[in-house]
Amino acid sequence: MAKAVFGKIKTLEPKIEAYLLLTSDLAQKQAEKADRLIADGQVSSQLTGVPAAIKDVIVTKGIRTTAGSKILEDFTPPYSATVYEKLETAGVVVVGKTNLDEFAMGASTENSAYKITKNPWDFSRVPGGSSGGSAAAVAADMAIYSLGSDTGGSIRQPASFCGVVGLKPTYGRVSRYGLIAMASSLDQIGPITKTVEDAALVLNEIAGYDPCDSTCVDKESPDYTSFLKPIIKGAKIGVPKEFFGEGVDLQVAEAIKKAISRLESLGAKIIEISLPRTKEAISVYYLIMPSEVSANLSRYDGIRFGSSRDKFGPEVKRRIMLGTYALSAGYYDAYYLKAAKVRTLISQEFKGAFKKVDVIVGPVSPVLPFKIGERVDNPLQMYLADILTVPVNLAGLPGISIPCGLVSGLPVGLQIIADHWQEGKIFNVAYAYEQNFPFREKPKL
Amino acid sequence: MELAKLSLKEAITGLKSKKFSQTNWPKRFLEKLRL
Repeated sequence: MAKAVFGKIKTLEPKIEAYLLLTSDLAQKQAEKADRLIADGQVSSQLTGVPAAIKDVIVTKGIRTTAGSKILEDFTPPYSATVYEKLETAGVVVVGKTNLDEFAMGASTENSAYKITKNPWDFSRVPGGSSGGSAAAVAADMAIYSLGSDTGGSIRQPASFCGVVGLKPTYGRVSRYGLIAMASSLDQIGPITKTVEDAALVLNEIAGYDPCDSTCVDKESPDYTSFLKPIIKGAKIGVPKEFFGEGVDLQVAEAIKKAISRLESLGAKIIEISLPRTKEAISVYYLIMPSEVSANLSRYDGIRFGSSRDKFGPEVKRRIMLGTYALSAGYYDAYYLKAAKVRTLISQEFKGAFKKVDVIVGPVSPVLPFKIGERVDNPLQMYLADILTVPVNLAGLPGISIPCGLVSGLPVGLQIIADHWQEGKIFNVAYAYEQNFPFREKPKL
Repeated sequence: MELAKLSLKEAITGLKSKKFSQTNWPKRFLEKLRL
């Protein structure tokens, strides 16, 4: 299987550029080890021997990890992230490290210091970001599944753009130990897969308490595959009217409304709800996130990692400066503190909604995958791509993107959001949708 | 069926059925008999 995946990579990687590093020698050793384990009947995990790709912001002992930045060009981590250790224990075959926007700051991979990943559905378009390499690799069969990270939509948006499944778990469900930090109160690692069932299988493996991450919650993780039932009769599904407001492409809105009708046809009760704070989420996010960025990236001081700060790209510099300004004396109360208060209101608004509904659905991205270069000179327009995903991070909720159709030959993702720790409800609704209305289209490669 | 196109679930099923049914079950079966 690893050979088959590398065969795909040989043909498609020059066109798609999903990887920053291919680990073929390591993969061969891991595949041989997995073969032996399977042959001896010593398999402890369902994932043994299955080729996977890892976003290059997750540290891997002995394997170069760059976070898409020139500042870490020569960085070989001395330890592994907990999620990677878990996969290694499970017998993963690592195909390589995938491309991303520098330090996961972006929505298109155009901010990568190395290359721009192409969308497998249309090479002139972006795959989304920041986990664009991870999503494109899975969409193009250059990995069976991958890991991404999501700070403001960085798993769900590229999954939507590439027509695959992407899950952001509840904050605290998956250890962040070894995830190169961007905004510590928002970051979360999750799977990017070809099906909903696959996402449940990967989450089963990576979820759970980790004493190395003080924000990882000591709470039992259920077997997520037990929620994979194709029936949602009676489920209460909330549709926020604000998710179809200004800036949402009409074709995207139509595709999502069709998906909602389909859920209704399965017996779900559709309830219109209101989340008026949605309009404030981008402003809040672009104060809290850069503030945490400015603190987290101060470790790249030109001494500890050996590279000069001149090697930061423009988007990283912009966010460090924005954050430093928002946290500075005299401005802290007006910007960061106020944003933190509104963040609480956003969280409370979701809590209120989940008293009435089981899950909330809407679009992942307000627009279809955009052309490479189309938004790169307009940061504000790029930031608006996150408008429907950042509220979920601010509230620490779980959310998934599943493909629900094509518009002009490009995939559209349906976002399903649940209350804290209720990934099971997401899997139920997502699986029911997928089983009853399967998305069979594949990019023509 | 191209192996790279498999989903994770299909890959899991495929790996197990191929390895266990074609090569290893007999060996493991014989080992159990010896025991």
